[in-house]
Amino acid sequence: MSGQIRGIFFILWLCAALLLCPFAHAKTVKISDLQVTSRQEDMLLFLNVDGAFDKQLNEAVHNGVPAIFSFIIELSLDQGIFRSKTILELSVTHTLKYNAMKNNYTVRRSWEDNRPLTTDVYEDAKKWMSEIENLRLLPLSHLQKGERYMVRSKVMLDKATLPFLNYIFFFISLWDFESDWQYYRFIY
Amino acid sequence: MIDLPKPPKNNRYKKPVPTLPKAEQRRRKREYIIAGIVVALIVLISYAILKGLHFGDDMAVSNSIMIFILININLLLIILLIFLVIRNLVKIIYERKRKVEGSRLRTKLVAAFISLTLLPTIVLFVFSLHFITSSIEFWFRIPIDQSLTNALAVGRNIYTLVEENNTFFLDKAAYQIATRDLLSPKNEKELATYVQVVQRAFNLNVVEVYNARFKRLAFSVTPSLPADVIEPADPGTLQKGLYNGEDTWSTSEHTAAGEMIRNIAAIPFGAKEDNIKGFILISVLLPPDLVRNLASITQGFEEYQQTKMLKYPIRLTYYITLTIVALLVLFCAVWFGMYLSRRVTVPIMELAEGTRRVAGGDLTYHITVAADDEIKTLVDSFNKMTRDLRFSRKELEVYTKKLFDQNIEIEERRRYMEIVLDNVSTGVISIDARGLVTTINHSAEKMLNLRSADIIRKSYKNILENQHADLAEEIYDRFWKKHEESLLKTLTMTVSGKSRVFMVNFNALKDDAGRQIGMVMVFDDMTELEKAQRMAAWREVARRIAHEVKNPLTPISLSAQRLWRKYKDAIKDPVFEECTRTIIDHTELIRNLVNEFASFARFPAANPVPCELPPIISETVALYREGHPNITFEIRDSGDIPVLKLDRQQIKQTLINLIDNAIAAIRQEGTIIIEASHDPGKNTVTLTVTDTGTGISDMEKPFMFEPDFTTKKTGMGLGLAIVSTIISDHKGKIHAEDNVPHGARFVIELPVAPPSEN
Repeated sequence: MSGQIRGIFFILWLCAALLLCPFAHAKTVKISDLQVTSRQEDMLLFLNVDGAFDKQLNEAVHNGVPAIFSFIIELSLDQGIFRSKTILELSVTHTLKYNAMKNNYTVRRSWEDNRPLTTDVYEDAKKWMSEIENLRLLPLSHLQKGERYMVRSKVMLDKATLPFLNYIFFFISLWDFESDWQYYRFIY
Repeated sequence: MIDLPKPPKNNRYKKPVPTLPKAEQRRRKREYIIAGIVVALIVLISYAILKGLHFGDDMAVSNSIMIFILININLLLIILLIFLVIRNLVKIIYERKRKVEGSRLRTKLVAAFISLTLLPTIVLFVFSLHFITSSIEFWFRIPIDQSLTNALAVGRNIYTLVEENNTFFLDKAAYQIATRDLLSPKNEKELATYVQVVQRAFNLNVVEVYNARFKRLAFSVTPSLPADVIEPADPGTLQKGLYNGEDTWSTSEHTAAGEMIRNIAAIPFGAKEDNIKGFILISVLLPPDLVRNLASITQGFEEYQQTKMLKYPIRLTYYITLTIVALLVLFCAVWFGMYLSRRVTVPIMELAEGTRRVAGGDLTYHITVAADDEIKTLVDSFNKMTRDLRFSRKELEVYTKKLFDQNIEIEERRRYMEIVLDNVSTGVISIDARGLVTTINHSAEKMLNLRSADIIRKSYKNILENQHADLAEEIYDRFWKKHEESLLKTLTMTVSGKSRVFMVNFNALKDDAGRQIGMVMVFDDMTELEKAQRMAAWREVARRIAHEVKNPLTPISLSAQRLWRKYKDAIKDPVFEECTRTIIDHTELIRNLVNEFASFARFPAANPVPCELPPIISETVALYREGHPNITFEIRDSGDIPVLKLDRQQIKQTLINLIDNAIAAIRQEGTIIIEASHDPGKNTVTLTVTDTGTGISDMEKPFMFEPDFTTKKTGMGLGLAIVSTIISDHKGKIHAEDNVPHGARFVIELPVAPPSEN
């Protein structure tokens, strides 16, 4: 077939791709205030999540959908792109569940043994979900003085929690998000 | 004659030409395979997805990812299918635009298929959409929504009720404890008692009192509950509501015995942080059934809400699925339409092409079509037809070649016969059944001085008309009426003023069935032969006579001489002398005549030597000039007479004889012209003796050169015979013609000897 036909097809493809674009929107979720400190003999992590709760997630939460934030945290020796050695890799989850009967919110954080934090105030629940404080990473003795270290973290909405008709189409994503990696470098 | 088309250069049976170029075939095959795999995969994956969606709520991540992948693949395959189908559709339209053969029928078939499937598909689609929409709407009817909300409200009311009750009791109990100062260590026992009383009186499950330092001072548990079910509340719980400025706050715990709702208030009731002396807890246990029901109400409500939330996406999903299925159906219809149309149009186009090629003469065209219906029958018939045509043409060619070869052979034979006829010395004239001359050979033309163009297709009577009209009648009578086979005749005809004698053999030509289809005349010029025969006969006679006559002459002469000698003195009578003299003289005369005869019969052979002709002429003419003043002698010499091989004496004798005849022919006055000329073309020298005498009649001409022909009163008539003999000894020719206006001309042609001989 001639180049004309190929051209027509390409245009068709382009239109299809463009038409389907609106369905694939990305949320601007990011981790802010990522930092580590030391206290006594431990390295502690602090971070906040911004922009995770949009209208759709709020609606989902208030309809009883449990929202699970999965945080991935990595500590590595910063020796350039190809020579970083990962020292620690861990993942924590925050789960928020709204109880329609009692009209309260329960947040469980895996790094706090999933102890339920209940509140009637949605803002409190959101705040608990969006922050990690004093998360013990590892003893300071595991670090070497004078070395450059890098901590990076990202958060995503765990897709496993979506309800029974969880996956409509891959281009109609309702709540899922994934933030970019956030980096924090320091020299011990 | 049938005009056959030209056979192809390569006449052997070719291998069947494939209908499409190989590349196109492979591509088509690839397409079909891809399409088939795509459709199968779509079906399988869709089934898997549908199955997969019935998993439980706790789905493993891997499963979800798997489904995610499957759905994506499914979509890609569908898009691929769409691509293939649209590509084919566009191709059809393109072909139609470019008026490729077969495209119109194909377009029609595909369009028909599409419209056939489009209408019901659209109808089904619209109805299904409407049905889905209304069904979904039905599921989310307000009554369901309302009843769930109401149920939730009922559940909430239960909790509210419990809390309100507990708040009431907390208020009363906190007041009492505060006013009675039961929190002080000294009132420990009263506190315990009071707590027990409150628990029993208000039928509460657990009542607990804590001091400001979050230490439990007293508690009472309903007997039905084991005491260790209740753990002391932690400070966080106790203080929880303080920061919010609430009078009471609650927690709930799920235990094996049910849900424990713990309401907490400060002592005194509603006190702020600084004034708090203690805390009081009242716990109410909701039975497990109730808890379960409440939980299920919650769950149901939540699920309903979530489902409601997904209403739009679900509908969209259904729409999309339906659309995809409709499109699938449509594309399958298109595909099938194209496939079917191809099955129909390709053979038809091939047949059209085949008929064109066959009309153009190419009988090796073979249609290979994979079909199993009437089209195959048609194609087979076509192939058989071309095959039969091809074989017939081969046979025709073979026969044509044979015919051609035979024609050539016949033509060669004919030409050979023509050559033979043309070169044979016998004249051959053939006449067809209608009496028209069909062929005349070269010898006949020459002999009769005719041109074939003048005589062909004319009646044979034209040849014979002037001289032998009666013969023509006789021929007609014998051959056409009486159907005789043959006739032999000797004819004398004048040809070009000369008399010729022909021996003519007439033969009837009959075909295999015995019908007369014509006649053939075969004739030879016997003139020279007759002349020679006559000459030989005369010679023989002359020899015999000479011999027989001469014998008695000698004795007679001798006797007479003897008598004269004996009695010349005795007899003085002049009569005696006269008579004896007469006897001797006449005997001598007879001897001379006989000698002349003998000389004719035994004429000395010519002895030609190279010599010039003009001097001979001059010498000979000189003999006559003086003696014949009334005759003008003219000598014409062209001046280029070459040297000839001549017997001088004999040529002289020839000239003498001819001039004698010329003189004899002229009565009073006249002219005799002796002319010599050279013809380089014929390589001859022509010597003519022309007189203005009485001439020679046609009757006399044939016999002029024979012995005993004379118009003179005296002489033997051998003069011209001798001349003829001399000339023929010199390998020349002589003939006589009429001179204009009167007189005769004798023309002698003598060959010029080749230069080597001279």
